[in-house]
Amino acid sequence: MRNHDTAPHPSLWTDTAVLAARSALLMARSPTTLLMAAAFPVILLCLLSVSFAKVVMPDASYAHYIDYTVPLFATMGITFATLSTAIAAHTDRTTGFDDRLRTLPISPIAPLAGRIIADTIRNLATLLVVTVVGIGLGFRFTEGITGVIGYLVVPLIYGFGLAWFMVAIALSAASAESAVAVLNAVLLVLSFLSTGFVTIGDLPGWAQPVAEANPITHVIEAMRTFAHGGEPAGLHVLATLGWALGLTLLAGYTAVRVRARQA
Amino acid sequence: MSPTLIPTPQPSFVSDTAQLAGRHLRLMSRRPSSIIGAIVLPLVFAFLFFTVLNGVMERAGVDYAQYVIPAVVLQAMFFSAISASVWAAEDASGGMSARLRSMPISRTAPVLSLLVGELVRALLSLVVLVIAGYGFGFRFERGAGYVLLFVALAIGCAAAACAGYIVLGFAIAKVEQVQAIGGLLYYPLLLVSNLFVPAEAFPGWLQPLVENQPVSRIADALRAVSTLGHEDLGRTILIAVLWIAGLLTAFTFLAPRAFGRVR
Amino acid sequence: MLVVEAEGLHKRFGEVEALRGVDLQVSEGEILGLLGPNGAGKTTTINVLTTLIRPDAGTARVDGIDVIADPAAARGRIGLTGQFAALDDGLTARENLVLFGRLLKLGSAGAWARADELLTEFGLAEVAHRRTGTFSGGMRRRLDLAASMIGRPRVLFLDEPTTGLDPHSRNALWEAVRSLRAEGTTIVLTTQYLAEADELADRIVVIDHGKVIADGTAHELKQRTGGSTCQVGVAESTVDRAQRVLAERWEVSRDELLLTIPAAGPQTLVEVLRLLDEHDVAPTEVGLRQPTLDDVFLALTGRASNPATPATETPAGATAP
Repeated sequence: MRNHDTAPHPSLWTDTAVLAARSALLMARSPTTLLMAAAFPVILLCLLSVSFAKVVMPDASYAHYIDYTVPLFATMGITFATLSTAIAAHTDRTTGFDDRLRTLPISPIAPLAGRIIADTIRNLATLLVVTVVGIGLGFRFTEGITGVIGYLVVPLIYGFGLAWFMVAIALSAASAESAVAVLNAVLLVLSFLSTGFVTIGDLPGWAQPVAEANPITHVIEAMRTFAHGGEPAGLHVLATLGWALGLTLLAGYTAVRVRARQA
Repeated sequence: MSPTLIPTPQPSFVSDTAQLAGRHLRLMSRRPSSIIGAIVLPLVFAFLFFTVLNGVMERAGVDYAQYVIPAVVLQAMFFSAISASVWAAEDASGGMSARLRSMPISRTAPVLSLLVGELVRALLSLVVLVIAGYGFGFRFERGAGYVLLFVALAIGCAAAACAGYIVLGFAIAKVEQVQAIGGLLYYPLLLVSNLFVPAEAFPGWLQPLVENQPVSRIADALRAVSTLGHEDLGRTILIAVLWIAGLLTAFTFLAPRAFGRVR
Repeated sequence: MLVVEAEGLHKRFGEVEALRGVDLQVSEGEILGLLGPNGAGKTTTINVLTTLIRPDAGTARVDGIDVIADPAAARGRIGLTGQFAALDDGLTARENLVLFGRLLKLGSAGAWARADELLTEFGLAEVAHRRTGTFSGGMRRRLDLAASMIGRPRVLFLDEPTTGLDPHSRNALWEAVRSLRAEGTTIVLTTQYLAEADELADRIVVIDHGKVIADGTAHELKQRTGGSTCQVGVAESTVDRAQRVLAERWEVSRDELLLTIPAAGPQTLVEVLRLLDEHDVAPTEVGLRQPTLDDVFLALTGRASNPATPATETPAGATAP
């Protein structure tokens, strides 16, 4: 007979670690996720950079434009890969896996936290893949090790906030397919209406304030400063933190609430 | 009782295709992601390319509205093709293909109806994009006959692309894999082309490929029939027509083989 | 009259010999159960008979029509309910049926009328306007069956019709199949479940490794395995005495408190009880046990059939093996 001392009890850290490992394993074994997280941003980096370079910066070399756009494609990779977070969260909800977790004596935060930690690991992988390919094509770090660290941390913070947002959507949406179709369009607009492809001055007047407020612009500009120097990154880092914190609190709150209500 | 006394329903190419095309269109109209893919996404791309690149293209002396509307029209034709491949894979992986193949109906109808349904969808995307294009400043600068030629070339391209993607969908018959492979084909075909930027923007060694690949050739023809000032109008149209006819013939030959191993 | 006749069907997929000379005869109005484990060749046989694949060798006729020489004509005589429901989730139950009715050239009014007829017959009239995507597994399966009945086929082929269904839905589907037979439809159904073949089929053909290894009614197959047995349970205090008494006349095997005697028929049971009564042994339980088809399968192949329990529902998007 089992006594109370050996009965399983919730542990936020262990439970989260176990579920993060599960999510990470599933991602690594899903061809679609790998495609979205690694192949997609690399394909865009190679193909879009080479086609836009001479149009956007007629007097600069291809390598120079790649130097300019690697932060964009890394950030786009993270942005679109979170769609698979939404799909995975929705699948867990509809297959009953979530229900099973809810009936286990584990921390109620662990399922969500585990997923988001696994996401952050995937985002780091995306970031590294795109950056390494970018370095092969001409991307350079000039600001030393602190620059490299800043360059890696800022998009991960952004991805963390975005993942919470996606999970909240996945838990509320009736159809994953429809939600993904809508989000895909929204994320495209966010990615393009930024300083990712062209400098702010090349955007039409009305689009400039939109691009300046766009979280993707802040992430990209901060990454550019950390990689190459230039204007101080402080404001962009703060803005990224603000966006991430806001999304995390709002979406995290919604996600936990919705999840509790579905019990 | 003699079996010959039982009336057997006769296959009818026209009626069977019409019934199944009606089914396909009805299913698409009830799927939010299909509507987004047919209408919203093409508009988003038209809007984004125009907004982001119009400034830099103007500087380079390109009338970008005239340039990019044919491009996003062709892109939308590929969206139809990708949709066709997914529906084909769904029919093949569920029981629908098997049931249709065991019924006394036209052998061609199940494949052709997908094509017909997708071409209706493609025409809808085309009309929506041209109307939006007029807002950006795009104009048909030649006569009404050339407008019809524009539509015919675009739908011809959609037919060739759909036929190829339908072969892919039936041959692989797994939705996720079809989406992945379809996407991997789509990016290089559309981005290593003169769709969004002129061929001269690409590195010298890549330019022959960019100029001569079918998507660029068809885009050339769409621009030639919509915009004044193109030399060699007849030759440009002829090359596009030959590409479309050649690809369509090849895929039409393959499609029934992919659909079923029995007559 | 034979409605299905197949002789010497062979089919090879690469390295795998799916069919190695299958012979099959189905009489008019009969339900034939095609029984065998996973990968035995059941679905391949169905696919040949429904014109979906062409055999490498052999002949097959359905309702007198050569399915290999004239598949187009054969398709007018058959209905197929495959392993995966051939329905559009985005269409309502009625729309699904009307579509197939139109494809079978019933005309618009005819297709509607036939759809309503079948919806009532299969107990789906209440949900006719609902999209199939919202249906339970049992409802989908019934609608799928209705869809293959639209053309009033001479032969209905059912490929594992109840795989993944709960007992209630399974019983409802069995009822539907029986009433189709009552209307005169000839039915060929495949199953992995011995109980299902026992329940539904007039005749059973057992397939294993692409060959027919047995053919007969459930009763005949059971007879072939060796007849029934008589089982008597007795109290612990009397078990030794009972065994001794019975062993004088029969070959008795004992499993704890249960004694088993080969039975020539119900008469054996009567004699056993009388003998025990004469020796003051009160049985705690008695029974005459027929061999199950599990015993049949074991006797035929030297291994147990499996799965013994119904498989879980196949996940959406999975493809047929």
